[in-house]
Amino acid sequence: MLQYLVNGLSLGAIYALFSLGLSISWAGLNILNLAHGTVFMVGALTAWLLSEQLPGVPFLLVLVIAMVICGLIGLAMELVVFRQIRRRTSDGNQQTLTTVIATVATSSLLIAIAEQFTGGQPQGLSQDLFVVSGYTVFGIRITNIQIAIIVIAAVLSFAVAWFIKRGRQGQALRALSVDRDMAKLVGVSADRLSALTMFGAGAMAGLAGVLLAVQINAVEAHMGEALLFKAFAIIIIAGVGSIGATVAAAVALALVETFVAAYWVSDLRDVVVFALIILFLLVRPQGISSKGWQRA
Amino acid sequence: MIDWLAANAPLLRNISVLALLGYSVQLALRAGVFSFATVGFYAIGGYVTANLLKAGWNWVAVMALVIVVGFVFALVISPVLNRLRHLFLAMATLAFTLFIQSLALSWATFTGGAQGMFGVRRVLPQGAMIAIVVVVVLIVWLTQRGVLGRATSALRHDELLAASLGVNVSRQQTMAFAASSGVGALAGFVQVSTTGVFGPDDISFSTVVTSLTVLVVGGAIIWAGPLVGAILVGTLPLYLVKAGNLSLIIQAVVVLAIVVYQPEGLVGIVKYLFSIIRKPFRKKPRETTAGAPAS
Amino acid sequence: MSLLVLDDVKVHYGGVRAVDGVSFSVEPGQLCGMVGPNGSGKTTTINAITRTAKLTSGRITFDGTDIANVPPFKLRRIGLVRTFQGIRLIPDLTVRDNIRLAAEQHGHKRRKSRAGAVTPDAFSEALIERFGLSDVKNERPGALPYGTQRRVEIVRALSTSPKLLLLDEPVAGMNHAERADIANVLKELHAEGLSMLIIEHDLRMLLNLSDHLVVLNFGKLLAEGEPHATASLPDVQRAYLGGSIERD
Repeated sequence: MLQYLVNGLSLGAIYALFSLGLSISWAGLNILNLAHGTVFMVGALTAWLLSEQLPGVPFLLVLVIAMVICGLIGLAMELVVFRQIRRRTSDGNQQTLTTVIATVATSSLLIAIAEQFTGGQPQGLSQDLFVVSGYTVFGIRITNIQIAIIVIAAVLSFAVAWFIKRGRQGQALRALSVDRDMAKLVGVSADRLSALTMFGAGAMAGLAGVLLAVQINAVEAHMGEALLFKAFAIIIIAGVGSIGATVAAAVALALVETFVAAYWVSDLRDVVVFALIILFLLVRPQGISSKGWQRA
Repeated sequence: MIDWLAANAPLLRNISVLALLGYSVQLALRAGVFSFATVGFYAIGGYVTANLLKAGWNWVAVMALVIVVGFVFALVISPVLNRLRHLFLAMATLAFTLFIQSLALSWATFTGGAQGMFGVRRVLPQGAMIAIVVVVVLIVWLTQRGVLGRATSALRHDELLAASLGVNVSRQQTMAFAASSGVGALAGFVQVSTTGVFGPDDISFSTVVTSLTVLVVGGAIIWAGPLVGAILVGTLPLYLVKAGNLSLIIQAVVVLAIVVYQPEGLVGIVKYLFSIIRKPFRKKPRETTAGAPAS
Repeated sequence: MSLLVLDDVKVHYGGVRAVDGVSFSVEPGQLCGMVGPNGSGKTTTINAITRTAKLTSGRITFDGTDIANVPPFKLRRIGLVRTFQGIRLIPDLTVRDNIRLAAEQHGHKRRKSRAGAVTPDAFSEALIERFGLSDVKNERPGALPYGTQRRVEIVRALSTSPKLLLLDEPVAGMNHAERADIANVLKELHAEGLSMLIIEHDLRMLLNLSDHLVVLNFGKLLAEGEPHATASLPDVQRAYLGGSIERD
């Protein structure tokens, strides 16, 4: 029982790291980034490539490099794709729609590149990258990577929450989410802030990618897609842009999944997740955090 | 002609399915319903067809049933979708598709699980397949004009305004979504009844990408868009074979460039060129219309 | 009987009382002006009438019908139609199609079947002709001057044959000539007996046009009555001159 709690918690921590970036870029920039799962995969892919090419590379360095690469992908998307679309279309509806389609196209580009490396096959991650060792505390087995995941996710969640709430840039981002034109008038640099947000969201997705790859010991070009489904559920449950609720929903969803798989039928996990999505859409489409800075 | 059709059967089949997928997305999109559910319905249509054909049903009956299943399923989930707008709608419908994909893997008795369904009778005659596509194109073309077409334009641009002018927004959007789902399911029927196989690979995220690619390459709103897009997406890989492994990357870059720089797609480019050529001959140059008439 | 009656209408968003207990009525054939400083609840009142803002409490009846029982898209059927603050023309459709779109939405089948009745197309053509839009009817609205776009919006609303036309700042952002132009159109319609409720920032324009004036401030009804008399009331003067007025 407690064992599942630990497993669920570490899975929830990955979900949280992944969903936060998706949620913030949606709330702040009105971008539903369907390439977010692919950026996550690039993080895992980077870890795999580094460990293959440079055996014995320090894990911390791998984490940093993966985060920077994924951050830069996010930044590139903002500069080359989103900003161009914003310049070209003034109609808000049209802009939102074109942007979503563009993220799908970006995602297919990243997957095509990734498959050049993986050969379209799942690849195992070298064990040397991070030596997983387990401890048994009060009869519960917990691995060092699980501890790392939980600690990193907790620290980052607090950092992001603080940043959004108290940080100068975070407050500016909230202003941006309410009214982009108005925010510009009061001196918010919308372009710089969008770039920063996309970089941060990308870096967090990349981090989650490395951590999950180490935990499940595998890398695959389509590994982000299943996670996207979970992140949708989390955002629908939590409401867009709410940090605390997103983390809570991520952990709750992971626990539900873990327990359904453990005590019921493993195959029913996604059925339960989908049922939760429908339930929340019917009962509370704005998510559990009704107040906040998100837009519908 | 007949020889050519026979020789190019795989290509034509591919183009037909792509076109149907593209029209499915377009039917919803042009009424302001941003739906990613097409591939989900494609999956439902495909698996239902595979099972019924294996059970010995007549293909005409299967086709009719598949369309009805698509409609009914869409009407069942539309009350949920009707409450959603824009990005929430996109997310919820994509969640639906991802869920169907996951279900296809785990519900092996109906779907064949990871292996999928194979050895289904390939019963759809080529002529019938082409007729199906032609009928769908005709329906899309006809409904893009006249009363319905104008109401659809209004819905896409401004739901609030449309409602204030008397357009029944939720009913029209539900009908658009149902039509989109029906055509999506029909695409699944055509795929299975011409190839005999259907599995998780057919309904993966890359199919979502492909269906959107067909749409944006041709033109998202214009009736001819998905057809043009399907022909391009269907034939381009044949010419990109030389590029080998890089062909997928080249394709992705081209699509991305079109989305960002030419959102109206190829049909949009052609229309633009046409308007440039025609301009000097227009009866009323724009200059004379610029001043506001006094009353 | 009054055409439109607002009875103690309240629209609250969380703690914000956008409209807080407003009652007034519009008589048939009346041109009623509604003024008030920014944020006084004018647009929210129109939104409440057209059911785009949810009533917290109160009651709105139009032509004897409680509008709470009418879905928003059917309001036009009972003769209630509005324009919006910003220009909302459909960019893909020509001027003519924008107007036809509105004319044909309700009852075009019935109109066709009645022998000798005006079809929506003929009806829109007549309006286009009458309001001097013939030259631009095949243009897309995006290319037209601002004033012309506003005119198209008003004609589009008229093509639904409304009993009451709600106009939300019909001359906002216009130059002097364009304003005068729209004012003439409104005068003409008023003379024909069309009932209108017009939100306007420009008090002077409403003084000359309207035959009833409603003044809102902080979501409440500050005053109503004969336009010139109402405008010169000390409370109204204070609300307007007390610094809260802004021109955009």
